[in-house]
Amino acid sequence: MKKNKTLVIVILSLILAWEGFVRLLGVPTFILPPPTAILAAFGKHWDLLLFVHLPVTLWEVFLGLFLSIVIGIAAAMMIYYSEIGAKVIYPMVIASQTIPIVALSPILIMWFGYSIWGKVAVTILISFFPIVVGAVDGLRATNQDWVHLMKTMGASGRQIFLKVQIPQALPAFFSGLKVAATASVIGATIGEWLGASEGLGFFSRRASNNLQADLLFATVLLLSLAGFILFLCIQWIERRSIPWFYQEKK
Amino acid sequence: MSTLIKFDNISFSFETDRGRTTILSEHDSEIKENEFVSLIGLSGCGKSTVLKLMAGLYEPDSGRVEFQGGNHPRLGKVSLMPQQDMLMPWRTIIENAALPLEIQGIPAKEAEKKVREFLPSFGLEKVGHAFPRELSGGMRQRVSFLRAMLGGHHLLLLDEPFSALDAFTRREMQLWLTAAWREWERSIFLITHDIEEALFLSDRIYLMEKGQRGAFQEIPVPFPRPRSTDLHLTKEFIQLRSEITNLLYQKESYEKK
Repeated sequence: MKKNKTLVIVILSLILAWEGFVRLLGVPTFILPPPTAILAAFGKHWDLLLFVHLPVTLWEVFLGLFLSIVIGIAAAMMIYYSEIGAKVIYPMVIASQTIPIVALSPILIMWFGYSIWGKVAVTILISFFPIVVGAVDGLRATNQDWVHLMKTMGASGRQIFLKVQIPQALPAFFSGLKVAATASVIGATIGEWLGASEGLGFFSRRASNNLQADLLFATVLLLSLAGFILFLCIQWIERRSIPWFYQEKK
Repeated sequence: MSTLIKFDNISFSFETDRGRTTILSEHDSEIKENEFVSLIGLSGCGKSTVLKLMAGLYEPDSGRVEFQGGNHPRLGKVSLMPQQDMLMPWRTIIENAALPLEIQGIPAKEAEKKVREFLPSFGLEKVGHAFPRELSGGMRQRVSFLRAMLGGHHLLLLDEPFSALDAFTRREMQLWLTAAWREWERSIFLITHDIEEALFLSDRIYLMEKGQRGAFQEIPVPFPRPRSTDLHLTKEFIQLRSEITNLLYQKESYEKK
């Protein structure tokens, strides 16, 4: 609680300093809008922001993150269980992170048009990576002494996987998932920047083109808030799934 | 007493970075029904490997392992209590102890019910729903022992189970182990580097050396049971202890040559 109090005080003073700085130096609004102008822009367009464009972006984020988890876990299993996977799939997964997505946009639009799948594809491309890395590291950290113990109890490979490897891999998997959650919001936004007719990314791009910096800032603020809340949701699920992990740290 | 497990002329070696390391060659040993045998040896001579051979985690390069009168599989038929308690931090005490029953296919609820029956005699009735991290070292070892017992197998392999405990708790656990062993009628094979512990608990002691060739040197423990807690103060005990210390010392100086 005390930590949150400090956070609120720091943010409030930053906002005050920002407001004072802009007003004192007379910075034009289209260069750097003061917080009050951002708030005003939000107040003017809130229904459009919250009920038209936010749902579109959120839907892309959920779909992208869900598919990232499915693809990420599948890739991690292949990498962990087969030598070919480790030698072929892992480098390819890493290579996928070096793709400059903006350069790829004409192709993505050609493939998916302006449909939701182009944005989902970008979201997956950005957010499946931390999930794969987390899951692979988690599986590779399997304690062999536990595997031996399970074998002496007569456990099958499947029982060892379910009762030892999965629980032991969960903390690393959730670390990856938390990174992926925030990245997925960025992914959906970039996807919309590349070509869309709705969504917060599209809306912020239009505001930017019209030099409506206040509206652009309001949109970005809403986006980061969405990412933040998504992160907290994952953390909430994590604390309920692996309470022993947090208890251990105490 | 009939023989429970027997190593018949077995050899076993390891491939390591520094070449082949031989642990056992042309080796014989055996454990009988309801017998308590300890294995003492200098660290690094491969005591844990002997245990893993008994458990069936390793198979010998040559020779035969006879188990329950034949060449029967040992995995799933022998209980192991590892050096660290190896309790799973994501399982409660009851869930940890129920693990071997669960693996044998007994439904979780039934397994946990069975565990609950045994908690009082292990002094664990108040911590059934706690996680391992909340328990003391001695208590965690008791959970680990209960888990090994609940496997229901006749042969129990204990790998330096008390080495991480303080002297007082260790003594307490030794007394407790003796009582549990008599009550449950099991065969116990204990690895330890504590000579007093081996003398206090066992019927026979095996001495192991690096690159063991042939049988272990065997020392029968002559003290009748039940053994009293001040056994380690008697003249015979001290004499036998120093004899074993000397034998181990000779083995060590021989190794260095």
